[in-house]
Amino acid sequence: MKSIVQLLIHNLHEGSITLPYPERPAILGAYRGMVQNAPEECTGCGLCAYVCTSSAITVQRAADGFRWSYDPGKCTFCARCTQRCPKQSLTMMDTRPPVYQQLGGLKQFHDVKKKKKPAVPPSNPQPEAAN
Amino acid sequence: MQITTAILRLLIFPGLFFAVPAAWFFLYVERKTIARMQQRIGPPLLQPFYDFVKLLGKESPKYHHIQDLLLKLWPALSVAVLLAALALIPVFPSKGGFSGDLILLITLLELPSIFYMLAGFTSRSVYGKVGSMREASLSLSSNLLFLTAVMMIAVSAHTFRLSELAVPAASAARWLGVAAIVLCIPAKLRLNPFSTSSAEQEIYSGPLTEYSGSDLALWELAHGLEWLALSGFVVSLSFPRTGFILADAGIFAFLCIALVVVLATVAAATARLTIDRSVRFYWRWSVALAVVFLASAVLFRR
Amino acid sequence: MKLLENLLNHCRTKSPWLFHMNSGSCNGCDIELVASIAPRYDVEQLGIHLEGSPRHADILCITGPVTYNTLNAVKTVYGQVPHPKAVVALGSCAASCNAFAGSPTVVGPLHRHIPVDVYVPGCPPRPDAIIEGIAKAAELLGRTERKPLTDDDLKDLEPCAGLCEAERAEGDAPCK
Repeated sequence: MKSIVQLLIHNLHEGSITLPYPERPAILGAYRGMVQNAPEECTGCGLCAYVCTSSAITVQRAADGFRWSYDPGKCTFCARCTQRCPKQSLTMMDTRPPVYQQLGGLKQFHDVKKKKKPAVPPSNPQPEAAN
Repeated sequence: MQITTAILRLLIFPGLFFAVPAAWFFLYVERKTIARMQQRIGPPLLQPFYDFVKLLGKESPKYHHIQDLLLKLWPALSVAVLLAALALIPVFPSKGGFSGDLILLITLLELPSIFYMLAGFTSRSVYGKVGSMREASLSLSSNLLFLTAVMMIAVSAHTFRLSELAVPAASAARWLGVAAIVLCIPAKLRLNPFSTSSAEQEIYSGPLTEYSGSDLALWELAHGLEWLALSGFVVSLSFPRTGFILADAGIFAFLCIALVVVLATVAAATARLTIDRSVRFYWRWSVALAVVFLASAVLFRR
Repeated sequence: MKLLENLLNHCRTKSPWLFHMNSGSCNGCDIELVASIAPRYDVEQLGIHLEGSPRHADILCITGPVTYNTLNAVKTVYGQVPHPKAVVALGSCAASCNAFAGSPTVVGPLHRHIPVDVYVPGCPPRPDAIIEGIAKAAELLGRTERKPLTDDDLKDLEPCAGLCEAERAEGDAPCK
């Protein structure tokens, strides 16, 4: 338990520990930053939107595809979406969301159009009429 | 003192044009010392100047009639009174003064504290009232020590003239008196550990809660000028004079800044005491030392 | 006069005084704000000073989704900050109510009641993000011409009522 005089001498000796303004401390591993989706893997199942605690992720399905949108301004960085995603297409980046000035300014989305299914002739025989 | 000398002293040196940048410099030294003691970088050199100019550009809340007049009057009067006190301080004692000017100086140094209290009561805010009551209790308790110390210094030198007091005597009475005055300075300047009257977390800035704009700029300036006046008063009573003007001025400035650094270090090292503990601290020292001082004042009289 | 105005704007950027208000937050953002005053991040190097009274401040930092109980307090404090002022919505609760959207005691994100200049996202935002947000607000104070808002301007904020519910229903309806 140091006395205050020892503490002051120690502080003067050590010098300042402040990070001068634009500098930031290094991000350590396993930092939960913004959510990132890999469009090739995403199937639009919507489980991430279902478990999202703050409705930051929404999935809108249409006839020919879906739109996955994410608003970092609403996100609470809990990583439930990343844990739940069945295809592991969601990851958390290690950058924090930037400061913004317009409402909804950070919202991002991507559209995925469903691939057209090739025409397949029915292979199973028709059920025979009961005779 | 001639009227022209008085006006020159009030406006040029050590008046308005010199004292205001010097006050800003002292505020910078205080904040930078506290920052360095806490392992921080602290504000840049011109920070008090930026604060002052920014506050001049902010709007003031609108009050009515006599309240508006009084609220604007208190900070303006504080600054004026402190400039007058600075004009009296004997840096170079051979420049003359008048008899009894020690009493005038003590009065002028006391007035800003009274105006601070009055500002709190005039603002009619509950936080202002609490802060002013705390300032009143603290001022009552620390002034006993301050005034008996000043009285002992004056009686032991057999004069109330500042120009004669400015020649330091190597007597125990002088040094004890100066030490007691330095002990009272944190209460007058509202520094830690005696900063309860302007406690931010508890009473939202106390007496100055309702102030903004140019009036607040004048309050900050008054705080800087108070630093200058009190440290100048203490140093002028205690530093050895060489007789060369430049050397004297240099030593004076150095000792003033050293006093600011010491008091700011004490402010960084201590926590804020509650009002009952602060008052009790000063009453204990006052009672103990006042006995010594008054006895020595009686013994030293011719 | 132009020189004086430039000087005034420069000083406004260099000396932003802060007032912090909690409008119902969980205190996580408040802790991070206070951490940015600590020696490691030290906002005082930018001249920022945490003030005790809203009348002394330029920048109002508000955390938390505005709850029903704190609504009047938020509006009163906003009115007490003298012009020119800037408002920083700290944390994702102040920007969008976060997990509390749709709750009966939460009256919606901050921009529904007072005009917001800078949003600092995060739950809680890192201290360096908070400092960046405050520095951006300080820059806005010095750069743009800020006029005092009238009651009519403040009334215009009301049409954003129910933003969070509407947004969820339609997908991503932009805020008008």
